Amino acid sequence: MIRRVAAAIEARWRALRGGRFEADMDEEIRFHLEHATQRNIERGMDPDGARRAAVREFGGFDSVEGTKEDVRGQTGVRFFVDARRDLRHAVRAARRSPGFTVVAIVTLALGIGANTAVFSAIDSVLLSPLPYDDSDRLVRLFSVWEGDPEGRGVLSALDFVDFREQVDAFETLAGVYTYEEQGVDLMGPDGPVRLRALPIGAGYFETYRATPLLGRTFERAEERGDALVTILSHRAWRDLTDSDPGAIGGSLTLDGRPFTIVGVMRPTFTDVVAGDVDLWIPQNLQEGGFNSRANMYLAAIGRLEPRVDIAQAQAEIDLVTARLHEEFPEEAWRTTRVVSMHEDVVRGSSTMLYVLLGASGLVLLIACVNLANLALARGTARQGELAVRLALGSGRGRLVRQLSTEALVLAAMGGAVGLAVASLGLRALIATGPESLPRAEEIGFDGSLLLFGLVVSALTALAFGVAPALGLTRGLSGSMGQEARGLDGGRGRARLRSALVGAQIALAVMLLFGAGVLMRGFVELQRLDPGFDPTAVTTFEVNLPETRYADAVSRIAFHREFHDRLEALPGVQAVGATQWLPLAGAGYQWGLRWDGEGGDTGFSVQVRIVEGDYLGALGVPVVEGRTFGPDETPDSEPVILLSESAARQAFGDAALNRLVRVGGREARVVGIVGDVAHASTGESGPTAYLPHIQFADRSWDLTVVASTASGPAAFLSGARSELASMDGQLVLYRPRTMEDIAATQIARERFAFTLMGVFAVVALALAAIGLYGVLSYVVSQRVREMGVRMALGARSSQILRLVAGRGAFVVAVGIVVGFIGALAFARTLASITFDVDVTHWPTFFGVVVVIGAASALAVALPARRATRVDPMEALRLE
Amino acid sequence: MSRDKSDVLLGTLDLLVLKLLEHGPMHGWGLAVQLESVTDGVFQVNQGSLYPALQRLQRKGKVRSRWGTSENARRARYYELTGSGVEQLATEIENWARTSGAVNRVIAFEGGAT
Repeated sequence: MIRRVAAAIEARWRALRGGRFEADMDEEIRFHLEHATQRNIERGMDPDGARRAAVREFGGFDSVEGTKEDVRGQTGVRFFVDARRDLRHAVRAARRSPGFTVVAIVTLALGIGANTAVFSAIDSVLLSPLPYDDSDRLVRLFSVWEGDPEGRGVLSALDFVDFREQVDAFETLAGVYTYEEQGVDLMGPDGPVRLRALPIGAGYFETYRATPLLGRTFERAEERGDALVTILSHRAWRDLTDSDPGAIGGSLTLDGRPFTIVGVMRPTFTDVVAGDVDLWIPQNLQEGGFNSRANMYLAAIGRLEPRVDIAQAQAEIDLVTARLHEEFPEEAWRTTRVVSMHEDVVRGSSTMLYVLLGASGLVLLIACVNLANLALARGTARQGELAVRLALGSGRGRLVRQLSTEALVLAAMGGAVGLAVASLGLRALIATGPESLPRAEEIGFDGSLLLFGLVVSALTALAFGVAPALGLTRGLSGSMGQEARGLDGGRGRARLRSALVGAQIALAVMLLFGAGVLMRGFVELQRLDPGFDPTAVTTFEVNLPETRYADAVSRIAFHREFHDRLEALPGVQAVGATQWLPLAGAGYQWGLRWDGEGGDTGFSVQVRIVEGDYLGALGVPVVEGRTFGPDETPDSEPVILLSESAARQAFGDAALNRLVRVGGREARVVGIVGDVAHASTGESGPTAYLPHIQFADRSWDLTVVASTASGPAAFLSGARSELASMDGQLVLYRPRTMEDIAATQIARERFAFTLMGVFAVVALALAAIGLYGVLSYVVSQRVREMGVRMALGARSSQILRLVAGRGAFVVAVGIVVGFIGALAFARTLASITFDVDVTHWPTFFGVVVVIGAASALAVALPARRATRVDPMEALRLE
Repeated sequence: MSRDKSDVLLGTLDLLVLKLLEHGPMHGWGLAVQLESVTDGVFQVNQGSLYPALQRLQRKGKVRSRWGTSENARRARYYELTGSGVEQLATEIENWARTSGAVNRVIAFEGGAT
């Protein structure tokens, strides 16, 4: 007993001074080898040979290291000592075979990294609740009509107020101006700056359960155009007032009017729908002015009462809607829909993200298969070393532990690199920004998935690295004679490896097919004719503050003069302006009514207020009639242009000169123009164009659109100086080219296709590596056979066929299986890509060509090596 | 490695090592040489396997080691029997006698009525 305790203490002490233990052991074995060498020299060997013979007698070089390992294994406190030694040994082993190590780490890193990045995005965007208390009770209200039952239209302020007063299902309901932020100009020390302002009604912050840091939020009494109060975002408070705790009650001059600061929000508050806002101002919800049943511009958010579901709220809304239809039959064409806010925010992204997750899962699968293959090959190669050590008395458990440690070390290294890949990937994901992903700013790193990837790959490495070794040790029972050839176990394992490579090829086919389909969708999208020509078109916004441009006359005068000055700039071909750009989504949905055969009828159209030669600047063709000209004055007969689809839908081919009612007045159709897409997917929807000069009683934030022969930079600098010379307090805001705007619209598609492409290339590379590895292994195993065949007169071409045939078979099976998988995959793909035929034979043919080319490369190298076998060398190997 | 010599029987290595150490302290190389010469090379001990065995015996307290000076004035690790090692040797010899006796009886057995 005492002896055992003493031995344990001694061992522990030895473990503590492990360095000393190692040195002692090294010296002892060196002592042995030197004496053995000396004896061999005395027997007449040359020094080199003597040295080699000594090592051989000791059991070979592997055995020297292995023996050390086993001596270590016999020391006391096994677990910790072993763990440290295993670790060191594993790192040494990794360094000894850099090829295997690098391939394994890269494989793992790509698999784990891609998955972690994509899953982190999915987790943040789709799975995690919106960042508000009880966010499952948040909803949005949208107006829909029978032509577009899934639509997400805006409401009229008067309808909204009725809902707020008559529906009990909502704890709070708040109106928001279109949910597109508006600009306001703040006069600063260096000239005017434009701030992003979001006009909101009372209850907006309450709906989000956000409380102000300082001051208060808006009240219902402030839902008026003349309530000059504002709430600052935390950032604006910091930048504009220098984080002044006494900022409440202070004044900011916005668009020339003095606003009183009544509140400051907390830095944590963000609105997932509207994003980046500098300050909030009250939205006017009073009847009269521009608020009518027909003017629809208001977005609405709400919070359901506890234990009230969307269906109940919808039922109550429908009751109120029915009453409104009776009261205002002109507006009975629309109803209002309640939609969960979470669903609305992630809409359109979820399928894409799930497809990408599936794709990255396939990449991880391929990575694991590759790892399995590598581990199998290595396990076979190490049979010799393992057999010797087992024969020397190493416990099987000991060997398994060491192999496991090696697998874990690889997995850890792969994981570390994977972490880097993931964080790069994640940064790339976020960089694509709000254009392609909602809630992009919320995306954070998901550690649990990294862990999952690590565990999966470690298990793979373990299963395929350790199992062969175990099977081997079981069969060996101490005899070493058999291991040198090791062919028996080799054949079954080679078949397994071929099957694994076949699986990889199949997965790669699926991914390449997916990438091909998405790429075609993207190309189609870019090739789509939006109905106008975005090349060489530059845009910017100008906001006329209502204080200094209080009436229609001053606004018309400004825009007319500004238009003439811009038109005179060198290189400008056509210039105009609108309140809503193409490709910016649907906006300003107004009712278009006329007297039909059965009395009043109509439908809703997209309304564009235009100034100057807007249609000319965008190259929109006039199909019939005329466009707006100098004859239009505020007092001449109101005129309107209809898009082809609007004209056809309303009047067939007899639209010209008809009278229609829109925006509260009657106007004559004087022209029919081409359809212009308001969405990147080519949807154009019926559109009506109204001349600004006749609709200037409202102050529009017009966006200037100019096609120029000179570049955008020259035009913008010219425009800036013209603007400054006309009114030094105005801001040339958000200068962009129309091509940039178009690119932003297809950012999501570009993103999906790029990511899928990356996955496909990775998959292809991994599959090719796997194929190459298997065939190289086959060749190296059969060098002797090849040698014999060559010696017996086989031609190179026959040998080549032997090796290549095997590769071709594996590839062919993989392609067939992959194609079946791709067909299953195609249905899901169809939902995220632009309208293309997903079962497209040329795409599939392309995939086969790519796979074939990569496979040919992977087959060619080992096959050539096989034909280069020198029969004499091959036979001497034994 | 020539294959006409049998590997040392598994499990007998401990006995051989303990027995050789009975004659006094010895280093690993010395044990390897003695093992080879005493057995006329019949037992091809894989020299590498000696060291784990020695370490194992040491851990069990059957032998202990110290660093000394070898016959040609090199630093060498010498192993010697402990009291427990002497007892162990006796047990191992007894076991071996029993095993080999049994094996011999099987070999001598000419067959008979069953």
